[in-house]
Amino acid sequence: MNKKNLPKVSTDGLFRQNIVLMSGLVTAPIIVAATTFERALILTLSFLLISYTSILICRFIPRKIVYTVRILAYVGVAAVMYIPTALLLNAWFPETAHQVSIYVEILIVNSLLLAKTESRFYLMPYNEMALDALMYVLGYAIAAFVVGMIREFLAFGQLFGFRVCDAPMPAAKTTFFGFILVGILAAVCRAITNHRRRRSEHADSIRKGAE
Amino acid sequence: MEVIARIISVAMVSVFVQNAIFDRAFGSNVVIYASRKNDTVIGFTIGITAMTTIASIVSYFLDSVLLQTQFGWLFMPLIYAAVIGALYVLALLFFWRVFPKLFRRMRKYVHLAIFNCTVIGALFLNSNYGSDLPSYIGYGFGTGIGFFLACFLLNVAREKLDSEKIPRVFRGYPIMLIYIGVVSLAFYALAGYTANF
Amino acid sequence: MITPITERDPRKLYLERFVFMAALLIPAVFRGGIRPIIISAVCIIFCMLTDWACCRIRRIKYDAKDPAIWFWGLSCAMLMPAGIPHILAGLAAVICVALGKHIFGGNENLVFSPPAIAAAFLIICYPGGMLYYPRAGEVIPMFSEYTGTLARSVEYSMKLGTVPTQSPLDILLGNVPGAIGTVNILVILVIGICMLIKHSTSFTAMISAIATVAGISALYPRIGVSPLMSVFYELSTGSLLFGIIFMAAEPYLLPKRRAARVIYGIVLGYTVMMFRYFGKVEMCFVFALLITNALSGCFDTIVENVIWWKRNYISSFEGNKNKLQQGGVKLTDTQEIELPAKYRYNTPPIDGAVKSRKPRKPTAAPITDEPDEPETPAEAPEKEVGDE
Repeated sequence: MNKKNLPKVSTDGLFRQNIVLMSGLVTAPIIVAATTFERALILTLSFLLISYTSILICRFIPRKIVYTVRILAYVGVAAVMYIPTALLLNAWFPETAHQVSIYVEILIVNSLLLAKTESRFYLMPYNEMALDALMYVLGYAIAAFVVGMIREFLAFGQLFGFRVCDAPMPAAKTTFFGFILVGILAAVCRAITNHRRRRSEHADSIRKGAE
Repeated sequence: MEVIARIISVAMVSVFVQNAIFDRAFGSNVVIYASRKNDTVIGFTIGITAMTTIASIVSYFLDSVLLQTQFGWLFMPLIYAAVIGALYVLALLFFWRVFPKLFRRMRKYVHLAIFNCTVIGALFLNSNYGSDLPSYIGYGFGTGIGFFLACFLLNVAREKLDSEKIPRVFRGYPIMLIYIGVVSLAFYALAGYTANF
Repeated sequence: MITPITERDPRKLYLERFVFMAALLIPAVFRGGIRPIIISAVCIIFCMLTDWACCRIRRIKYDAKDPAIWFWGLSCAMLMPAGIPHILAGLAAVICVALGKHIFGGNENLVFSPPAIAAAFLIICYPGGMLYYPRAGEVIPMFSEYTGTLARSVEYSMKLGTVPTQSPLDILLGNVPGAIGTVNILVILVIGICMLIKHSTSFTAMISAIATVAGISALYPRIGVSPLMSVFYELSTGSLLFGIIFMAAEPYLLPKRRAARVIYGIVLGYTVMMFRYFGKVEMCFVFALLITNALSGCFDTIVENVIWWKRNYISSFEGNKNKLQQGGVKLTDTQEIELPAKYRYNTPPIDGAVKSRKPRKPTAAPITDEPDEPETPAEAPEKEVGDE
């Protein structure tokens, strides 16, 4: 297979431009609702089914239409995608889906769909865009699962739903703890990204010096 | 008089006890963006408050039909999106015709002020907890004022939060979140833990 | 002559306040044995260790003799019950320094009171450990877990709407269940007066906060007692007096102007009472202090704006000029009322010195015989609304 025909995969969405930890575009569900592994899974699936599919579908809306009208179409498509998503989540997670329902409903106006599409996705070829958007969804999933697992352990003393010990900090499921935890994780993510960037710049400068 | 008292009491609950930012984290990215300048604080507040109040009034009449049907909850996001979209277009037309200079200034930000989790979240919370028209209006109005409170608190602390003394990895977005978290901790003493989403 | 609080060296101020606060350990030891001293030592040591670790991570110089760290460690201990597990005391110290100080950039960029953050965090996360107190007079083991009976504070009975069963004398002498350093009202009052004389705390902030609390509690008593007793109970419970004297007037957090400090005290007192009336948690002083700290940045700005407005719109030009001349300020012929720097739009310097202008770049490119380089198309900028 010719390597030139393969779409370029950018992993920006995983860490460097993670929409939860670096850009802060979609934070409300993670901060409030991601308190267990199961909830994080529900939020990730809902984000994949609503946002990702809407991005793929809305790519076909002509760019000639003014942004004022296009944004209505984006929200409309996302609201339509919510219907099968809600039915699916209620079938797979009958007890827990209801508890996080409002944070699935507000995904129809999330900033990945309304802002990032215009500034990044729709400037790329379709295949590249699909992979790039998938990276962003995976970045969201990473943030959701990390936050969910930490809070599940602290607030309930459980891991993946199995009880391990007494709850060390029952208030870890509160909103303020979510804000502080996501803030600290954002700083850690930034530190790791900066460290990797400096290493790659250092490696580049050594290579250029050798040349 | 009773109606006004009910609106005010529900609005107070919405501002302090169930604040859209500090209790629900709705629109936390918008509040971080809007708190950068005094103009954007006022502009976003007016936009969001007007939108939540008017949309809440419209959604009250729609909820009375939707909530009676078995699968009405599935179509709620679509209908609420249509309501917000219609109000958005009407608002743009109004400003374009009547205040063209203001329209040119706000054109860049108006979609961010209207299509965000704060506005649509207020409608969903109304459908869950609202009972009558005054409570819908109070909650919608209070959501906007609660947004202003969050924006104002961030704007006031901007000078310190943008300081170079803050460690580099915390500058910008992380320290804003931690600041909102500490204020949310303070408001928690008023609210208690709201388990129902 | 004693220097006002805002002009004093913060290090000396914190050291004085630390020494004054340490005096509260004496009645605490009489009430509960050596354990209050152990808890205080644990808090202070963990504060210092956390400060050292954070300085190493941030690669900045560590100051082992920073009195602010000792003060905050002791404040955290004073807000805790004597029977609290040592591990929670250590956790409070870590949160106080790591979250309260270093994440926000150090002593000179504080946004919130560090011991208030630690106390608030622990009250929400571990209410059982923070809001249940050993009875007065019970001997508490130094290192092992306390297994005796625990009681709720006087503030709890007021929150339920009942009149406290303890007599006012018991409350004044500290013979009630409460935190280590916040129940000895008489001792706190005496120390407060000493601190006022030494200018180790802010008179304006303290008096305005106490007056606001007293006024609101007299007008709207929470329990069925006379206004005077309502004022007494409100001031002597819930760590209020301790918090106003020691924690509210932090040198790094206090507004600079006196009028701003009055506003600060009023807002603090009002917020405390609102939390007491409508809140769900005890010890709400620390929560009210967090909100007042968040607002304190705007008090100086409000006062400066009011002063500028008064000077330039209410007073006449001639009146201001005469006032300035009588004050001994020498005006030249071209000098006008001095505006604050932020309002100086295109005004020349007062002494008339003209700054040399930088040479302007030519508006048109010079005519040459060489062909122009073709322009490269500009790349579409990535606009991300909402991004940092």
